[in-house]
Amino acid sequence: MVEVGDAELVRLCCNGDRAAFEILLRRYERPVYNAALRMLRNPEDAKDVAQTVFLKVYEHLADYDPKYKFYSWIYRIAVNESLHDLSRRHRVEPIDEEAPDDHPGPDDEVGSEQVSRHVQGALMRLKPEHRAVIVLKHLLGCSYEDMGEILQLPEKTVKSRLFTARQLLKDVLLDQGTSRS
Amino acid sequence: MIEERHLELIHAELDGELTAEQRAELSRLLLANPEARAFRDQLNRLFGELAKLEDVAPPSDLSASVLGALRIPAGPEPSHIRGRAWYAAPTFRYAAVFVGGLLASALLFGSGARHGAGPDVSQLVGTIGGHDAAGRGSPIDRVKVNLAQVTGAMSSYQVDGQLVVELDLRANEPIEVVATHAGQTVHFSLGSQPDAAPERVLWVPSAAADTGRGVELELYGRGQLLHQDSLRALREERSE
Repeated sequence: MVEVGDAELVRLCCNGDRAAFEILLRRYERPVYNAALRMLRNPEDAKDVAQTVFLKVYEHLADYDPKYKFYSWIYRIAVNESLHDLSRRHRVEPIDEEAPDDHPGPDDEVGSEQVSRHVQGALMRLKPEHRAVIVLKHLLGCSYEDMGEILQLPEKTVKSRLFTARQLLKDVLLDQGTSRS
Repeated sequence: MIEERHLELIHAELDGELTAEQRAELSRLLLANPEARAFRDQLNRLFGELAKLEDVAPPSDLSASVLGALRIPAGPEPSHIRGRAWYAAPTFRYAAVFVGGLLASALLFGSGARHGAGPDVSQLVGTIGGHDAAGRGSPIDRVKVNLAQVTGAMSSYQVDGQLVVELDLRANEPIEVVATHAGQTVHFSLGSQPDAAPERVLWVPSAAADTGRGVELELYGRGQLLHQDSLRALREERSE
């Protein structure tokens, strides 16, 4: 099966073709929802953010610059909306917070391994900007270049932030006794 | 203590972002420096932990709720919605879905009265003027229409596992197309302008393609049935 490219679908959308938008929606709903879920942890919040992301994408499709990758654009909206949601709900949990992590997370919902819950719990103890780089790299598989485009940061800054985030995450996991190093 | 540059090389290696030259440099480093090897092992374990974060399926109603919110503006679909998305607020979104349902019911009543057809008008449709089907791949099925009132082709495709029906028609007079698939019916009006350019209409039925059910197409002009045809919805059906 030949897959229609994102750029072609965006062009069709801009000509009023909502069918093309539905294809884009189906193509990106999973990564966008998962990114929001890992940023926010709560499935309901993630769903709300994912909805807002797609409504914004539709609203601003004409502003999309095709010289950039479409996924970079949509992931940028997803990360920004997640950060906005976190700041709005005052649910930022800084790394130095020692509160036990008993909030039900996505993996409780789907019954996955306990270790996945620990990793998600550790992620939630990172600052949102550190969590964002981990999500972009390890969940969405973005390259350094993609991440720079998404976060609108120089590649050097992206790398530095990612390496710091990993170090912090490693420390949190060690603290939780999850990482067997 | 591992140098900053060497830490960067180790991260880049696991991220798959090393050049051949950097890879050679890292190999030399790892051979000579046990601390660097230990760091690399730790980082590798962290990658393993992160890989355990599973990809979760989005809620089944996520797409529907987005599409429901976007269907709010009544009448012809705008090529673009500008300005602040007032419908983005959750309250409006839910109200929107409700109002959308009412509109769909009203359309349904109207279509049934005219053609005795069907149940649901809740799918996405779009009309575009261009003729670029490139990238959509070969059709599952295609029928040609060659009537005095309307000419062109009607095709079915699969895009990302989703059935897409394409009508590529030039109408010399007002033509109404009624398309039905798996209990869903939509109406398209073509040829409303004299000497109209060919029009391409895309329809993505909300139901998954169903092996037992193709797409039924009826073309009406001046209230009379001009042409009736069907398209296969799945490629496998062609081999029979």
